[in-house]
Amino acid sequence: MTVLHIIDYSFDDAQAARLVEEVVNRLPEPEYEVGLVSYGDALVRFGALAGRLQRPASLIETPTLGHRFAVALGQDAQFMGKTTHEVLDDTFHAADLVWFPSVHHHLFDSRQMIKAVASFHDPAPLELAEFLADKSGPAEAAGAIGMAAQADMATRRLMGSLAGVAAGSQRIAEYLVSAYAPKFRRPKAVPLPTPSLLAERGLPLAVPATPYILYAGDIGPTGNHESLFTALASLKQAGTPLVLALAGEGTDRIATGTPYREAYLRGLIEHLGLEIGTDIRPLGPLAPGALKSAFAGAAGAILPALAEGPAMLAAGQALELGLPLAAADLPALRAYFSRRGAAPSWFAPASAAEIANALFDLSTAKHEKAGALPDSSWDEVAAHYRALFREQAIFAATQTGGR
Amino acid sequence: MKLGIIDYQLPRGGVERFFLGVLSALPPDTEITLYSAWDALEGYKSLVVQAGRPVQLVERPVPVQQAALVDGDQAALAGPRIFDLPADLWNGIDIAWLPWVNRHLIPRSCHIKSVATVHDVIAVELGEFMADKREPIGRAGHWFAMGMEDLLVRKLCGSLAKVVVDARRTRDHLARAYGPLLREPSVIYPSMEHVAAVAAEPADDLGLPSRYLIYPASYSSHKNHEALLLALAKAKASNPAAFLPLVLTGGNTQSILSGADYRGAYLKALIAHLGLEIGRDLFIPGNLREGQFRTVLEKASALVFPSLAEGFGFPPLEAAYLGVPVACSDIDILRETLDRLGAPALWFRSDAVDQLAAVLAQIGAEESALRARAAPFAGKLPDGGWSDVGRAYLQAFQEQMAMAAMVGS
Repeated sequence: MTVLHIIDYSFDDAQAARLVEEVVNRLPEPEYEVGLVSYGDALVRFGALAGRLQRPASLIETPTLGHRFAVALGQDAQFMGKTTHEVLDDTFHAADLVWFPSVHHHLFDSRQMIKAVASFHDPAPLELAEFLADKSGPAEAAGAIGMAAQADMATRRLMGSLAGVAAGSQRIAEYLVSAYAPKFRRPKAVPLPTPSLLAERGLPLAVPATPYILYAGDIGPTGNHESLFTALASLKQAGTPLVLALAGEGTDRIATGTPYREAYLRGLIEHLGLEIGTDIRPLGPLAPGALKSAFAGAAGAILPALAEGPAMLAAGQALELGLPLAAADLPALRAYFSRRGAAPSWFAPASAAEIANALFDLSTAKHEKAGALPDSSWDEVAAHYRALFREQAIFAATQTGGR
Repeated sequence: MKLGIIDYQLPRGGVERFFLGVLSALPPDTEITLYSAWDALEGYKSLVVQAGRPVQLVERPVPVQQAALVDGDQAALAGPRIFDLPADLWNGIDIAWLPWVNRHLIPRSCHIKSVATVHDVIAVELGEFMADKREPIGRAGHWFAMGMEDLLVRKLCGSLAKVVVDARRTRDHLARAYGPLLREPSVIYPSMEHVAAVAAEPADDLGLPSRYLIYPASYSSHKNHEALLLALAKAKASNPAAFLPLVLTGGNTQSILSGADYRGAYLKALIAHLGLEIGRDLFIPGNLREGQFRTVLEKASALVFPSLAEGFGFPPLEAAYLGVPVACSDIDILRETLDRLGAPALWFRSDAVDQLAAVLAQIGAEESALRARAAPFAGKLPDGGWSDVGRAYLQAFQEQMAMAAMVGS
């Protein structure tokens, strides 16, 4: 019997929550005793997950130390970025093996890493730190650099340790290898399935009456809305206006112009001579059923994003629904779509002219028949994780003599 | 040449001497503007007076980043401050010098116009060890320092800035940890010329014994006071006839007396646990004036330096210059600093308490012989003095200006 403790002091990532649920449900009961370790709101979310699990898992409340970044501009100071959780040593004592389903924002002693399997999903704060800082207000910029420094240090320690690391894709695994040159073991690529919308029931949603192109992605700097708006404006100036619908976190706040990023995007829209409500229709964050409805009314979907993330997954969902898709030609996106046997039309994400062409083509393209695309399955994912757990448990036992 | 010096940190000790030394050696027609703020600016005001040359001081607050440990709605700031430098600081100057760059975030576009001195990366190299030695708030600060300095130095080493270090060991470490580097950092060794200029001041009122060992260092965990205290207790128990009491000077050491903070309380408890008695086995006069320190150092039976890491290591050289026997932890940087100038020393492993205890006993028993061995170095300044250091920095500034002009054109 292996005592596996799953540690997550944020537990606010839907994909990571699904990962835990699918993997734990497939762990054989006699072989693994599972505990869910967290504190505060995250423990409450773990509790909700435990209620959905098809096997027993105990909730273990263990406090952590929260580290924040404070940025002082003159007399005022404010916290920036997410809390980094310092996981205390005694959190590890009762377990044979610990799993961090989303290791980001967790710090722990290197002596415990031999016991750990860590899932690494998002390299953007590291790879694009300076870009993210450049695109932010002064306090947010400092926060972006601070978070990058912390993430860089934590990742460097992780990659130099005997921990087992599972990367969210082959591309992310290769990035970790090239940036951190692991001393002992290479990270294992375990791509997660994209949740399909095919079986979702469409929810009522007010969408533009005229055909529109949909971009479903949050308004963070990696969303690259700037290039998209510039392309849209060039089409309008050329006398071929199109309607662009925006779904995703923050899109409904662009019109308010606060805070920094929203103000920047609204200013850009006005500067380009575009109108919110006419040329651009913000829909806000959408539940899966509502997103399906938004895709159903769209002429096509576009993905100008500069990194992996929810926008990429939404674009994958659009393809399954038969929507024509144009996507930024980046290795991360190429890898994702080729893994799924899909071939969107590609454009250079920094070229407004290419994006404008892509938008125009999408507006006249024909829909394909909806149907599932090849993807990894949760059975495969769970099998990869079981193999990682077994391997790591052996490492841990040989190095530490067990608990 | 219009030289902008940018520093918001001003660490005390060796870096002050370094700053004054370089300034004194720059040509008189160098126009110097120094950008700083807060307590660092106050420190620079007095340093500039000592420099005895015109330096325009500009108070320019910048955004500051710091770690905080949070617990519910309570938060405590922790660790060093990181200074986010705006690009306009580089306007109107030919070249910027950051004499202690580690905690400064330089805009990417300004690297080409910058010469940056990295004295050490101890906060990164020993970050985890130092965090381990602290209470939760201090630990959060060390984690923060480790992550931030690592990122800042990594950015610097990957840039077109001119990086200067105090020793080959630091250069080699940067190349190993952050390489491949576009340009190898230049090694410019600091001078020990200032030692000769310090006039001895009376120190009788400190109440020190007639014979003693001295360890001048802050109480930071990389200074390894633990090993020295353990060895002292061992030396006292195993060879009381040769036992010499220990004098601790330097920043924060008075906290060991008061136990007022975590590290001070820890060391105070360790001293008690080892059965050492302050005022008999151990004396802690704290931070001394330079003249007082010279006197106390000169009278010591030996300087013991068990540090785990240094950027250069002034105190062993200072002791050697005064003819005081030196016992050092056998780490690359101290070997380099002392061997380069031919300064004699006894060596011990920093993690081997028994070895260190034996060295302490040897000093107690063989002080005369060790003094005789140290004597040939006394009063000698085998380095080229601060004028050499200043010339080397001037060359670095000129090289970087030429590179900036080339890239700009």
